Amino acid sequence: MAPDAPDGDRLPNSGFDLSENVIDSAALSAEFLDQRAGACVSFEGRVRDKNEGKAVAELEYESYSRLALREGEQVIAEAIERFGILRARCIHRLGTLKLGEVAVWVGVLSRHREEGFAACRYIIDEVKSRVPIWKKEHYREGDSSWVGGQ
Amino acid sequence: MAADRKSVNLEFFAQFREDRGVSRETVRTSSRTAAELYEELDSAYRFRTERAVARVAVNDKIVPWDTSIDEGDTVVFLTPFGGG
Repeated sequence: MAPDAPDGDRLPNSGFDLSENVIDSAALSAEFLDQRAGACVSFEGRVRDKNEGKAVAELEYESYSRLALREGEQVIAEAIERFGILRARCIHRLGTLKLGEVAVWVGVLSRHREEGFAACRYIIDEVKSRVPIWKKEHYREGDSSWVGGQ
Repeated sequence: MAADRKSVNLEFFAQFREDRGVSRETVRTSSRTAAELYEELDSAYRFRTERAVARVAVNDKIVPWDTSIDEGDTVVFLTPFGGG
């Protein structure tokens, strides 16, 4: 019988990662297991075809990785502590992404849904505002721009 | 003052990287704080990001702009983040 205390931060599939490769959400969900969990909440951020009225062709992400990994781990640790969830994981994509590809995946395992939804929301909001990752939008008209602070 | 000059490592990402044209370099500077260093480099490279909306990391930690810069420090200017 597993202990009742939140110990997600010590388990191997908690944490924050950056990936140059395509994020396979189905594979991540399939291996994201904990028999104590009655809820699995996940969020995918995907590349959308329009932003502020402009047609997007592709996105490019880059990070200040040393700081991003540390800050991302901090966000995960805070979510586990604050919401009492079992495990949390977040993976953010880097490099060039096509429309529809997954830019970020967040998964939370919790005993009940309330803390799972809250923790998932907390993680994506904090990652967007605190983790040094930048996005460049390349538009179908051929121009491009760095997008930040949203 | 030449005696106060120190060697500082700079890394550039995103808009700052494009404005500067390189990802990293080492410079000699007499700037005392991160803010002074920004102003010194801005006058040379005309960064498109105002200091008011940028932040700065020294040795992989986000710090206030008045943080002093020492020999061998790594300084990174940060435009607003755009993850997610």
